[in-house]
Amino acid sequence: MFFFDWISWLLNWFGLANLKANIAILGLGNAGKTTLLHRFSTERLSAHPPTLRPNSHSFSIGNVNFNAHDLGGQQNMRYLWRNYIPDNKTIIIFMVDSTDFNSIGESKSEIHDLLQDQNLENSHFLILGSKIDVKSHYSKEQLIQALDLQPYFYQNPQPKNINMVMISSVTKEGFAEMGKILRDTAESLNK
Amino acid sequence: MDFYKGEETDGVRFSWNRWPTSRVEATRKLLVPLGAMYTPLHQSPELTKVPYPPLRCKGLCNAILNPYCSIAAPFKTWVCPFCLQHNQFPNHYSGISDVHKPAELYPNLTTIEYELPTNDTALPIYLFVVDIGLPDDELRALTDSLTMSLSLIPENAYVGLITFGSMVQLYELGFTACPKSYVFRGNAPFKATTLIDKLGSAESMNLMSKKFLVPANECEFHLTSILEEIQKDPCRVSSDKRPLRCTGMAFSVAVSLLQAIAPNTGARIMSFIGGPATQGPGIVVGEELKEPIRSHNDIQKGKAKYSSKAYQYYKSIGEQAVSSGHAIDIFSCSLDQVGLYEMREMVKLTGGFMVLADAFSHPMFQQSFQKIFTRDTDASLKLGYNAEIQVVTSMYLKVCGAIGHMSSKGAKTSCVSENEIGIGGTSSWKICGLDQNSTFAFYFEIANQHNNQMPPDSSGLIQFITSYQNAAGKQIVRVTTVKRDWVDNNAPIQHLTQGFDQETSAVLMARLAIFKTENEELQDITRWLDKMLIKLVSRYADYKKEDIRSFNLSENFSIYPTFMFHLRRSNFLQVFNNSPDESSFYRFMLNRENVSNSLVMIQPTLEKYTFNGPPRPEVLSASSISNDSILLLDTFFHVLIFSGETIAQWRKAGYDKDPNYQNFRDLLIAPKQDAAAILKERFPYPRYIECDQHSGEARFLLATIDPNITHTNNIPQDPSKGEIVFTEDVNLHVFLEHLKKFAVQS
Ligand SMILES: Nc1nc2c(ncn2[C@@H]2O[C@H](COP(=O)(O)OP(=O)(O)OP(=O)(O)O)[C@@H](O)[C@H]2O)c(=O)[nH]1
Ligand SMILES: [Mg+2]
Ligand SMILES: [Zn+2]
Repeated sequence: MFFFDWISWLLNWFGLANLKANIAILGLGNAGKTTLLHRFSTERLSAHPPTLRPNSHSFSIGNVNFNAHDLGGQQNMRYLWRNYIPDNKTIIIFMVDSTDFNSIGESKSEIHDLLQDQNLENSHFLILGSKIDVKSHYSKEQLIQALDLQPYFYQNPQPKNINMVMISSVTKEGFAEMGKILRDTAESLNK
Repeated sequence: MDFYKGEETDGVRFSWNRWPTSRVEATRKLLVPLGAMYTPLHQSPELTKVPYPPLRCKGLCNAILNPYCSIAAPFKTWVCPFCLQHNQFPNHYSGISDVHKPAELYPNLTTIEYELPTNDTALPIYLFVVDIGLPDDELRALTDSLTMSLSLIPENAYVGLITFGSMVQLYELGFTACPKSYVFRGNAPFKATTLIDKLGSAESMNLMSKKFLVPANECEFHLTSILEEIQKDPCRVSSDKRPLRCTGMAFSVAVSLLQAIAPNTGARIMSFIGGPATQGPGIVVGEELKEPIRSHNDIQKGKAKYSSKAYQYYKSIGEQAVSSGHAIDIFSCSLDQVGLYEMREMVKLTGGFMVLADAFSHPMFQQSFQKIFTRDTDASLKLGYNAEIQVVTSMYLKVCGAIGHMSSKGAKTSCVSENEIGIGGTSSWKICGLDQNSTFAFYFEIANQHNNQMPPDSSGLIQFITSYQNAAGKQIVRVTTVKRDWVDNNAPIQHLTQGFDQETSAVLMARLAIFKTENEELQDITRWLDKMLIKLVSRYADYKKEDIRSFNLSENFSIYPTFMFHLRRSNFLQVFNNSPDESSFYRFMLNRENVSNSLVMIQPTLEKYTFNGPPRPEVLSASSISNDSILLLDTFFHVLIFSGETIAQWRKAGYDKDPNYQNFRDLLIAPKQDAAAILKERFPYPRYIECDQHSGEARFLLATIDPNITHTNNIPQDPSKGEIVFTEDVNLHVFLEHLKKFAVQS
């Protein structure tokens, strides 16, 4: 055991043991998906127009190299989402604007569609509540309520591979937790 | 200096309108290349057309008689200003005198069109290539549009039909008895000869036989019924697979068919594509959805499995089309990528149209498509086919190359510079499809030796000769001859700088930048733009060395740095949040439009509507946004009406319906009318958006403006003025400060 750990440590050191993982970033338009991905891949905060065609970028967290597909969240583009979740090894990030109380119902129905999708039964979900730097926003508990996700979060054992983190792409609050979850998920998927 | 005048009469604008007299001086002083933006089919209301062929110089220059030729009594000969050759006037030119001259010698007719007297008029050919791997409603929308177009196409123009999905189908339109079509499978690209073998005798492969290509008025009924009956590809697709599309084969069949039947006569292949090629040559992505289509990221890292092979394949199709003078259009309509990135070269080489829309049922497609068939006042389509453009330069000037949708004819005449810029090494180019917006950037070089004195009062001359077939099938030669003065090396620098056209310069630099994106890293291109800008500014600004505060740029340089700021930030040089298809499309458009349209793309325009007075142009920045105004943003690709928060509230409260608030109603209507006017003129039809402040769609505006107000910077006291942008991007002010700093140092 010691020996194997030592080897993986060495490989890591040389950047050889890099794990790979795919992500599909979903969520309604204006949720903050592109802003987050830009933060991940360039470190910089920047303003983007609505995403009109799926595109992808890669970034690393620790020893994991992620390739993330950024998909447009406007209504007419959502049918494409499933094309970018080809298997249950694709981590699904679903982003919810925690400051937009009007669109929460729409997010709820999209999330539940995904959670109940037979093909995604074994997929790993990460729900991100975005923009928590804004004064008035849902807390994590409120968001779970509003999205009707209590069955997924308050049951033991949890019926699904699902996590939720509240983040801000402006202040990077929540980034450490989010990064850890993504890395752990990637590692568990690579087992 | 008035730079617009030359554009109005000749459709041409230069970066520099006065030229240094030697190569050395030019290298030192012209820190934006000497170039011209030329629009061969520029529609000027005063354009003079004459019904006879042009008179060519006997010398090697091959130039055409023009107002700058010297003629003197007894008017028997003319001297070519390009090669100084003496030419005899032919007999039918006798009778010239000081007062009686042919039109092409009138001093104001620097642009003139000759219509060649020929008996046979060849009407253009439209070959539709239709993707049937589309969803049902999309296929219906497309075939409806095609049917509609039959009533717009000139009635004796030829049309043909090819469909593709899991296989290619070529329809016979000639026989009305029963519909007949030929099916092509397999992976090998066709050559015209093998196609002829397959389809019948060589004798039947001509326009006379009216088999595959038939005049619209003879096959309208038949073709309409075929279009009505076109079914979705019967080949079933499971949900984890993409529809089969042998797009590459379809183009090969189309190009070869036209090459066999109608070489060197105007024709366009109009292709309608709703998804990526998944089969055969030119494949862009595999059939399995599991395998995603390549992204910018994949391309940069050399991980795009099919891209370079597909690119080469479509490029060779493009070259085949060029060899027979045919244009290729792509109407790409889908919410996902279709492989425009790989296919772009076909369209670029041939001067075709490229449209990127969300769907065939979307106005961005439908309006764009219709627009192509819009006729001008004398009821002809404003299009040119199978064209050639030739550039002739006077002594001391050479042409380095051109950037635009054209291909080299490899004519290495004495006007050609060793120094290549863009598509160089030639002085003539082939353009298979032209329209009134097609604009080409030409780059020149001053070749005179430093110590060689120019004759006094001499000037530089450039002639553009464009021969093309118009939409009525007539052969036209348009000749534009432009003259610019030399500036003596010892003259005050203002003589040179007064001729600097910063708008045209920005566009010529943008074209160069776009050209570089084909082979260079974006970062390097941006760095190159910065370097060039610093050089220019440090040469032409007034300042004391090392003293930023003393920095001052004269008026005709002053907005150039702002253009560069926006260009660096634009979708042309930034690919994040864009797919390769989108980037290809944006760059394509910048590579074909005239100066004013290109400027809108580089630095979008913003118009502000308030209760206090008429609408006025606003600076493209976050501080131009306010609660109580409406903004109209035009990025060329998007036209957006943005209502400030208060305006939006009032509208939601229905004040515009209240007769007491007529002025509010007027305020809401004004930007819509202006937007409608833009939409009417623009090709391709842009994305039209109406949105409110703080809405998701407002991001089209927020991502475009100069972010001079951010969450950390310049937050206004009064929250009703300005808008906070969440970004760490450099704003214009900081950019300019840096520029000044570098400029005064160098
Ligand atoms: N205050 C705040 N604003 C944010 C944050 N993240 C994103 N935004 C803003 O929210 C908007 C969302 O931007 P995008 O990232 O483009 O949204 P998207 O989810 O990619 O939207 P689509 O592409 O339309 O699907 C932008 O105006 C961002 O500036 C955040 O953490 N805090
Ligand atoms: Mg986005
Ligand atoms: Zn000559």
